[in-house]
Amino acid sequence: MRLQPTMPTWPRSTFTPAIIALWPGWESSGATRAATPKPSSSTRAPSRSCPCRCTWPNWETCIPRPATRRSQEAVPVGGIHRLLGHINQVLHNRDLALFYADHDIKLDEALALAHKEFEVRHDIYTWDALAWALYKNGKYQEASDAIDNALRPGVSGCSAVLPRRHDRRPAGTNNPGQRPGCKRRSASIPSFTSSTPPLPATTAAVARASRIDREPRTKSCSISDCTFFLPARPGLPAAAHAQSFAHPMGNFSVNHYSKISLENDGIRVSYIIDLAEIPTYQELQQGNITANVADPAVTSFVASRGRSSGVVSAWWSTASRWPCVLLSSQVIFLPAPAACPP
Amino acid sequence: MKMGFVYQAAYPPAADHASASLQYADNNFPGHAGWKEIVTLGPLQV
Repeated sequence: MRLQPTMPTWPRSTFTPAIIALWPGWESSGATRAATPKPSSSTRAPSRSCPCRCTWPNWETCIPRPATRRSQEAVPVGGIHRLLGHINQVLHNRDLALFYADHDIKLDEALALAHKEFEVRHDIYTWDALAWALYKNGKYQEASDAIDNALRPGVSGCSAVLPRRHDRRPAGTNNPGQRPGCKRRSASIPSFTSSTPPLPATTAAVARASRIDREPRTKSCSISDCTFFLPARPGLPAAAHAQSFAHPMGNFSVNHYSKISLENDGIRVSYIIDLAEIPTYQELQQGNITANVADPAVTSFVASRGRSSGVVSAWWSTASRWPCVLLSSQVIFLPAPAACPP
Repeated sequence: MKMGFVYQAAYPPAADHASASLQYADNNFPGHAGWKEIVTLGPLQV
């Protein structure tokens, strides 16, 4: 990016001291300096009100191309890591560590930088940088632990993918003109934050990979061939921990569990569907209900969901559609993280 | 949010228990990520 005569002039006060401090480092970089055009007389400050006018370096000469990203010789890294090191020794040690790890250079120093950053900051990005540096140094188990810690609920910076807590203030508290009929619906509408930066790439990729490893598996079974016996997921409905966790399969996941048991008088199907935070929110909106088990509207809605066609279907091969009858229905709302619907 | 349902149905009158087969489908919330598990339990004499 080259400064054109028509571009605005930046007053000196808009530059942070760190940016000003790093500039000599750029000037001392031979490749960068050679690629950076000297300011012509037309680009100099036109008046005393704008005393500082700088030409930006030619970034294209410094940032490696994708094809040569992994080639250490082809990467003019001198200017970049000097830049990262000069901006802020505390915050951007993380960036420098990631840069070293990305380019497979100075891996031991990358790990040391990540550890040093971790001493002062424990947010999700620091965990991510530490995990990446550990992984690049071959410490896979420690990297896996760091990733688990990065995805742990409550870690600072992970609210990007989580909706905020429901606004349970009564309707009309902050909006006197709101109709009372909107009370229940407005109480179940969370707001999403868009200003928070997204998840770190490494952690997000690992989370996606681990989710892919647990893709839903569907099995068809026959009553006459009950030789296989899948272990039941232990205590699914009774897994109401006092401590709240985000859903391990992701906020959008829906998990199904079916147990088909042969009784003397017929077949019994126990069906449990586990909705993560976002589908729960959608269900609450669809039923116009709140997450309150004691609410009769919730009980009625769940029973209607159970009776509706398409929840599950089973039929004998020798008969028409199986006339299944809903015996009972139940719903539980587990304690959810602070930013999630239950 | 976890919803649990219990369904029941009698055996079909004409079913031969030795060879009858049951087809089961769960098309609830298609397209969502997540696991799907089906367990079958039955007494030995069935």
